Amino acid sequence: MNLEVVAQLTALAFIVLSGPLVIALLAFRKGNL
Amino acid sequence: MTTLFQLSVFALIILSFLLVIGVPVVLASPDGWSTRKNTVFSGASLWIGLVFLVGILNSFIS
Repeated sequence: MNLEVVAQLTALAFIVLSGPLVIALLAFRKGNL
Repeated sequence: MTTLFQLSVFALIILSFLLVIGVPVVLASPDGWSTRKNTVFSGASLWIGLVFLVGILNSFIS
């Protein structure tokens, strides 16, 4: 397995998942959604 | 010098990710801004400093 492709996909996963993570954190903290 | 550059870039990436998550959470949390304002300002200041540090260190690596 190409390590560079794995690293790129991991970085992409972090970036893509950051949006829903913000929503989940705000919902958990009962923020202004 | 190369190691210092790589560590700076890694720190910049990690801090950027933390700010991308943390800033909207702080801004939309109840009483978030008034209690975490200094943390956001410190993170933003550190981020700007890291950007310039990476730019300067980039001139010293081959």
